[in-house]
Amino acid sequence: MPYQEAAQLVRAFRQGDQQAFNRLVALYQRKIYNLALGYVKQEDEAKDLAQDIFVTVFRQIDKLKDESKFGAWLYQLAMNHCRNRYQKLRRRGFFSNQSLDDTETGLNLSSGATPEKEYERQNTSRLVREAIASLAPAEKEVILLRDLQELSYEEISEILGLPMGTVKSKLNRARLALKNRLKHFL
Amino acid sequence: MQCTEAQTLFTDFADNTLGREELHVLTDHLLGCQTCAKEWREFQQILSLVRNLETQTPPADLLPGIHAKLAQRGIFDRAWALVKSLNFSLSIPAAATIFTLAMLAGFLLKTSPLEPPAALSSRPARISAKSHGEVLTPRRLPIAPNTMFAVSHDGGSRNELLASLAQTAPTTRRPAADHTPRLLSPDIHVLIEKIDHESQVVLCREIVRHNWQLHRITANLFLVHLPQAELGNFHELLGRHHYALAPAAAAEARFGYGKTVLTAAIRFE
Repeated sequence: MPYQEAAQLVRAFRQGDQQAFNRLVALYQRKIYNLALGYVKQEDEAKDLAQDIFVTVFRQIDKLKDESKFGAWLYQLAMNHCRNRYQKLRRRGFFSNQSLDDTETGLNLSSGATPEKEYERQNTSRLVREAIASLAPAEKEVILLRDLQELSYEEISEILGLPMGTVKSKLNRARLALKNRLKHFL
Repeated sequence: MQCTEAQTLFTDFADNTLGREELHVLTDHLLGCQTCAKEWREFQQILSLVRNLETQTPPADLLPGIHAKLAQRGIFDRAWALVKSLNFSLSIPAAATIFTLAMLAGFLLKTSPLEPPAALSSRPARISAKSHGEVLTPRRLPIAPNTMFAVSHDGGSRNELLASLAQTAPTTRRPAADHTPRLLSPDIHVLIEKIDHESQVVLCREIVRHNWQLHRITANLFLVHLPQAELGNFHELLGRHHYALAPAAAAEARFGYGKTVLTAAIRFE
């Protein structure tokens, strides 16, 4: 179980095992990087943001009371970092300077895919990511945590500090908003 | 069931978290309402797209970057811990006031090489040629305090300079073509009064004979670079004329001790 593994690694790290921290990063870096990417949309910013999140983990691990709650604690830290970075970037006009073309990447053909189909697939993924990124922060957070990070309602409720009913209603509003932005592409 | 109410249940419907009663009511509504049925189909499609988004692989340098940031912040943390460990007995406002005053005093000392005018100075002026010398007030200085001059490094061709001294019309020295001009500000200000043109030329020749660099700024304003060790000789040369100088301390042979070269501005009147 990842939670048990994480708890063991946290314990080892607290006892001075630096390698345990590296393994914790390896365990969560994909999730945290993609969470950051969903929030700020730009890869370099997402990398910097993910690094800052893990730096905070390193420095504040002693503040974690229950080792078995590391995942929720990490996501809380990550969401705080994402919100702060998002506000900072927005004040600088970072998002208004980005156009749809900025995030367009080269065509990466997976084995057996035709260029047309692969282009269509990648284009759809790009549009969906764009639409998620354009949601209001509160809507974006529940979509990222539930549909991309695949966390349970209980976990999201704990991370965001909201009652479960509120999480569900926020998620429903967020999904409807996303549908309205994307239905022209269906 | 109203359409708006039906759509609030879409997420629970998709996640299979509806109660049996709500499930029946919602499915009945979707069977009878084409608008909500279409909305539901689109909702499912979008949800499927979002859930099937591929996660991206983090960059390979993510972990090394974390360690680099930790190392960077570790230095700052250690410095801050050191500052915090010092047991200052002063409050922060008091420390800030002292720091500001120290900075201000340093700035004033650095930018004001001149001593106060004689009338305000508590220390009597000591001039090497007491019968002739006096301390210049700022108003009578040959040039404004802290004026910067661009001069060549070697003072230019001496013959050219001495030839130009023979001219009566004011001329401006051009810096040597092969040298980048440097900016300097005089350490000593000298005013020589009641001196005729011939005596000016003689004095300048004496300066050149001592191997001191001489720059002609205008027809009656010169800059002289001389080694600090030869300040006594400079005083001796000036003593042949009626002159005044500033600052008063410049009358001492030890003035500028610690500096290799001194710069004097001389104005003829």
